[in-house]
Amino acid sequence: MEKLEFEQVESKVPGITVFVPKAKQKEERQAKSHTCPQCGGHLAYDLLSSGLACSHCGFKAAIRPTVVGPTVARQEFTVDTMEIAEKGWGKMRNMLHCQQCGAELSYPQGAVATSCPYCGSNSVNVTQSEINLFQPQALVPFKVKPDQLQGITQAWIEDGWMHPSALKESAKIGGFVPFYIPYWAFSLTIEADWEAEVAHTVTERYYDSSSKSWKTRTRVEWRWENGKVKDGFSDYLVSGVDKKRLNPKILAEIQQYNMKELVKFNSDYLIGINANAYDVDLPTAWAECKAQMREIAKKLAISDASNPRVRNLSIEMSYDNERWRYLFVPVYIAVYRFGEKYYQVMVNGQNGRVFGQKPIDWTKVWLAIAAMLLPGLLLTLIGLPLIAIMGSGIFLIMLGLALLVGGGIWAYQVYTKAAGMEAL
Amino acid sequence: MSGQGSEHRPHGELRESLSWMPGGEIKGCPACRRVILSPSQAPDALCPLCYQAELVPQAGLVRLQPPEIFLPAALSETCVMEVLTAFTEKVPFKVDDLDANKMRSRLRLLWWPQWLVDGDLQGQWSGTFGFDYQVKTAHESYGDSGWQSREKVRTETRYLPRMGEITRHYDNLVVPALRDQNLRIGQIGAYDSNKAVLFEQNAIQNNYVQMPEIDPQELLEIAQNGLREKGVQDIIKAAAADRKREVNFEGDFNNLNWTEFLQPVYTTFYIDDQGKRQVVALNGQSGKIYGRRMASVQKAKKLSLILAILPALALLTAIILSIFSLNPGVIAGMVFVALFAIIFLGLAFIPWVRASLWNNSENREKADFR
Repeated sequence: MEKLEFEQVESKVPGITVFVPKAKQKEERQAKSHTCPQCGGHLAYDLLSSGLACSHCGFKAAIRPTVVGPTVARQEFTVDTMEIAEKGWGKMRNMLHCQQCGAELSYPQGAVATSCPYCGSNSVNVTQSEINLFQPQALVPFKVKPDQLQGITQAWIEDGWMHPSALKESAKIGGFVPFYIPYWAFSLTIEADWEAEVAHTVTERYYDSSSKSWKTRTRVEWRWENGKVKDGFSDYLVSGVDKKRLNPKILAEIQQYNMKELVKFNSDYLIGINANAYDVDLPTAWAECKAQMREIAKKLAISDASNPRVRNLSIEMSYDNERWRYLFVPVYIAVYRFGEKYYQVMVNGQNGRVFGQKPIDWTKVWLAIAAMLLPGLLLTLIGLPLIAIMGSGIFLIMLGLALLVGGGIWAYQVYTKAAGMEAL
Repeated sequence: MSGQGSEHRPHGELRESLSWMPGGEIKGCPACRRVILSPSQAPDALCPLCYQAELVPQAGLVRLQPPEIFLPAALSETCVMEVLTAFTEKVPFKVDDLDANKMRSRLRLLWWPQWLVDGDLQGQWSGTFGFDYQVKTAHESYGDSGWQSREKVRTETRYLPRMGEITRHYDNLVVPALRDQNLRIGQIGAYDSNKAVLFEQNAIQNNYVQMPEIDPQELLEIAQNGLREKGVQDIIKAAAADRKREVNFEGDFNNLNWTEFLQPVYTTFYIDDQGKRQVVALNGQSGKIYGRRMASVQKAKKLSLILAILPALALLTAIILSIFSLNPGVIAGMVFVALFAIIFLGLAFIPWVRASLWNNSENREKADFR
């Protein structure tokens, strides 16, 4: 166990001295000078060696990571913190501003601004922007090396039949930009008391006077039920990037990170690598988290009822042990061009999971849908005249209808998937 | 307030009188075993605490030094009468002797002691202290109009280690001098020791003074704990904390000085049905009164019997007439009369039952004055 060092502080009562644990010296987070000790050139983070490297003379220096995992301190929503978070510091710093999509990026020392990693635009310039209040407490370092990206993304782009055939040949995804994305990680417990009328199906026998016989019928009886549901969440992630810049659906697909590999924040990891300062501030992200928690609580309440069919549902929900932390997670972002359009692709920098936008070849999709529906349709059409002329063919009609229904469901799924991918 | 007492030896020697109360005599009560300094002009020899026996001269281990401070009796004549009058009211069938004027005439002022300890606390402390802070949270309600969010502020406590040294002097830590002190305070209420003044011999000249029952040697641990607790309260303030989880203290309690602190209590009595003296006590500062308020069961019984005579006669008459009358109309009327007579006979016993229940309740809920 770490031995505490104490220092004297002011006492409010004479005759009593008070010592408090010495505060750990805050790490200097101002830009460090990263000059190569061999040639005086600029050092930058090298994704291949996971350390600092000089592009001029090849000098390499290892970064000793402090793996903190889930033990990274979590902050609370104190009144002071939230007031400052809402007002901001009011200090300014240099940012890279994309004139096309409006992205604000931290400006790496020595970096040459060429294009925006979000939209591929060359219209970027350096602007002054209000400094963010919070510095990241930890980050997930890059594990996927740049030389693996080509293979990963090529396999992804070749996967699937809905896309234009030319995509495999012409769309070469390159120019991956390593990028640290800000995330707010929330830990909390929700507890909700619910009350609702729940549907209960009751079977009863009754006497039908018209047919003069006893019959059975079912009816729905609504009964009041109540209960309490509770759930806990650890590192529930809410993106700190504006949804207009990074596609939230793509982010959601790749945002599974192993938090056990979190390392203590060290600015060395960011040298030469883009990092997006958060656009979504803490109060907004927390509001988003709470909105999602409300829906989770509603689902939990409904699943807690003896039947999911409920009405007049009311819920009283409270939060407890709310904590937050501000993290950076690694992604590679690339924008590729197919035809006249640009498509965004992201690769999880920790586990290599890839997801992104791909063009849809609707001709292929419609042909596939037609192929799915055709067998059923044909069999039904053959069966109808047979039954009219020969009085037989009912089997063909039944089979045709079954295939039609099955094909219809399949076709709907294919259409939904294609439409969803295009909507990305 | 220190310097008048001797350390750890407040009980001087076997004495029958004390220099600080000329003419006073140390006596003991054979019934309640208390030792009392009786004034030279005592109205009678009855024990002013239990009134069950007469005080007899008794040499006792007493403290030679006079008390350091005392609380002046703050009740006026009128105030005492008002309290006694209110005490005797609303008692069903109260005993004749339960009368404010009679009780006033028997009133005695007695001073009872507590120890006052002064001392130095010197040493090192360490502990875990709680610091309150506020967090923003929300309460969510879902109903017909969807979700409604209400912002709330919750107070939480962060516990942090602190350590330091303490060198403080504390005065007038009150330590019990009587074995039944807590019971007595429970009966007549606490005193406001902030109103205490320096001891004056004249102020208690013709009053009784109860002698301490517990030797300070026995109370050393209680006194040290009390001083430590005072120190802990100051440490919490010094550390700007809101509460403590645990505090360890390693150090000494020096220069402990024991003196006496006297508090006033008025006692009186009345005689109940059984001929027993029932003690009534008044806090000499606040006027809070304590004692059993006994009803006269004899009076109630007498009333019940008088009330029962008429229905009993009616019942008897109805029974006799019913036996000897052959007229069914008369018999029916007599049954009706008998029923009413039985009801009234039952009602007649209410005073007796009421007084008995009242006394049972008084005996059950109130112990003897200690």
